[in-house]
Amino acid sequence: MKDIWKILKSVKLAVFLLIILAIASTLGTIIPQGEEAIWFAMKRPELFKILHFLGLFDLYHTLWFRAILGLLALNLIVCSVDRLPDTWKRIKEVKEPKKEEFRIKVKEDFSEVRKKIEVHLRCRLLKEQKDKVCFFIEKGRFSCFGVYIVHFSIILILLGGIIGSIFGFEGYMSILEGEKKDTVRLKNKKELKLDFQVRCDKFLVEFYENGMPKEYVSFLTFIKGGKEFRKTLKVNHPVRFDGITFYQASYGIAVGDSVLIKVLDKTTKKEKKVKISLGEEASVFGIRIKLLDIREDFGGAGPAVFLKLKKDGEKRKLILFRERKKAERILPSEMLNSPIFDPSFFNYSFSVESLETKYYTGLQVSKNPGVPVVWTGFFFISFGLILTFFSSHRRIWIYVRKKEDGTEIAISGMSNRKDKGFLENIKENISRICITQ
Amino acid sequence: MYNTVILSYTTFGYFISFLFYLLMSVMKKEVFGKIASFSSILFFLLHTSGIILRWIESYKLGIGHAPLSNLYESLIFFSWAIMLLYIILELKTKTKIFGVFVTPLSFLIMAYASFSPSVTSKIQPLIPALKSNWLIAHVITCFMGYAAFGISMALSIVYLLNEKSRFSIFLEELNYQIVVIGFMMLTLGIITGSVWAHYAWGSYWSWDPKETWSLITWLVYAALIHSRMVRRWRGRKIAILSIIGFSCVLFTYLGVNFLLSGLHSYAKS
Repeated sequence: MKDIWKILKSVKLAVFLLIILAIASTLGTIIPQGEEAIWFAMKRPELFKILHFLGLFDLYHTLWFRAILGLLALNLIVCSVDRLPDTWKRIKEVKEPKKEEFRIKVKEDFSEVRKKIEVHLRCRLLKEQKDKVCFFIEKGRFSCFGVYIVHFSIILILLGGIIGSIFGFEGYMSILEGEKKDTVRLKNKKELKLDFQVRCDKFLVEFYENGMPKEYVSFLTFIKGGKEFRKTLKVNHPVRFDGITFYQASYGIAVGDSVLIKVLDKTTKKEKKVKISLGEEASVFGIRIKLLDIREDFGGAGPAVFLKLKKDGEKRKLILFRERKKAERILPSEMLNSPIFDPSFFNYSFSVESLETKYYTGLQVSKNPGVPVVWTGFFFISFGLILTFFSSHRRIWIYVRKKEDGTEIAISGMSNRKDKGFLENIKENISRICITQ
Repeated sequence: MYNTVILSYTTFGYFISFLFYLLMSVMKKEVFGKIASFSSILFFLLHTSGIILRWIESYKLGIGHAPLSNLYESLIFFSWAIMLLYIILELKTKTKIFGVFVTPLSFLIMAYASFSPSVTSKIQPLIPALKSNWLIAHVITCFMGYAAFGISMALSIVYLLNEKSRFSIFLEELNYQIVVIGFMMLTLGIITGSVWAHYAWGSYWSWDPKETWSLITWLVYAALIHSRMVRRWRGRKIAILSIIGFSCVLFTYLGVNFLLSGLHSYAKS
């Protein structure tokens, strides 16, 4: 038991765990994580099995990775518990150092000097004798606690992580414009039912002149208990409703399941429009048209429909763009000249009259009660680091002694850092307020 | 764009500074050191004006934002932060020898930003994810940290070359102080990044490669600090750890973008 305690309180273990965590984390950035691991499984099925067994495809959530984090937390706690009493004692007891760093001779009278130092240096009287006094200045007592605050903050951050993973969730929902939804697809592929509904009234993408996206905006309505609450959601400006936070994560274009096709008789200039649903057939000018597929995008040229045409025993397939002109701009002409893209069949010409598209908005949905705990940890770790590295615990003893030809001032000091500069400062201060010899 | 012209002059300026620091250390003549310091400060001021001009020009284009948003701008700021810390260090310690190792670092970063065909110097508007006040806090803290670690690496090299001289104790102590500043800044950088990620993506930590590598860097420097503070490691071991640490910094900054995929994909633009 004693041995275990000894190992747990050692800084050697802490450094070892830090290095192990660094190495393990590195592995996780080299080996594909989560869904990206699929290609690995296809390429190297044997190796995949071994790595999968070790949990290396979901490394940061494996038991062993968490165990290392847990051990580090335990190590931090044991170190703190082991050392805190010593630190406390060191701060409580004031031991005068034997060595005096400086001695200054002053012309002025003893009581005069004494008063000056007490007033100007704002120090506390420690000891008083007839012709000598000792003053004491202490600064930055909390500096020694900085380390404990930093380590406590790390525990707090880990705790926040645990709270988040137990009581919170992270998921995704995509909602078509005009659609209402109340289910969230969680990371573990399960579905979560919310006790309210979310409707996407409209989705908007704004672009800069050079084509880069400027803003993604979802206009949402939350419906609970018959009441409607409207909210506008942008990237970097999440929306909170009923303790659950919504983030603008992605968007996309969805097509409907029917299309209006225009057929032109080139000789008579007569045209007919026909609405066809996916998989259905229609007949115009004696041509049988079957709608095989509707794609949101074909080759970057926007939406396109796949048709199958049939007349007088002749059959062919046709891919029709919603915007032929856009396709001509984007796709090579050799490709568009191939028969499958040719919108003419017998003496008829085909085009898409209307193909409705709608945006859908992709929302990241999360509830994380651990966040305030993590934020508190962040605050205290910053504060603790500043205390640890940029403040120091300093003690200064100033002895004022009566001498025949004036007064002698002696200074000794201590610091938890190896800086002696502060003693020079004190010396300078004294020579400014007193007339030195 | 005047700012890119000014910044490419700065690149040459830092090279000139480097040459004079080199002359100073080889010829052992103080006058070269003086010229080197003068040139460093002069071109640092030019560098600063270049960054300010770029900021102004972005407003003239109607897409005004702080010049901290893409790879080019981050490289320029990285180099600026290194020179800022270096000049403060030189003035405080009255020692010029580190300049031999720091100025080529700034020069190389500037040269990469100005002349690499894969780095565009165009002022680009901000994509929605970058439109956040956290951007400035995150970039400044991270790169101040990176700059401090860069200088620590330079000090470590000087240390390893002068291990036996009396100078080495001073170097050792100074090196550690710089690492501590870098560690503080990196911690703040990770914190601001994490808070920002929470607001932008809904998760304060998602083990994205950039996040993970910043954590790895943090762990390496944490190990260094513990080894020195508690286990009393000194000298060579600390210098080597600092060099390892800086290679982690470089991997976090550039390696992740070019070799791994993730959310911080400015390298693609």
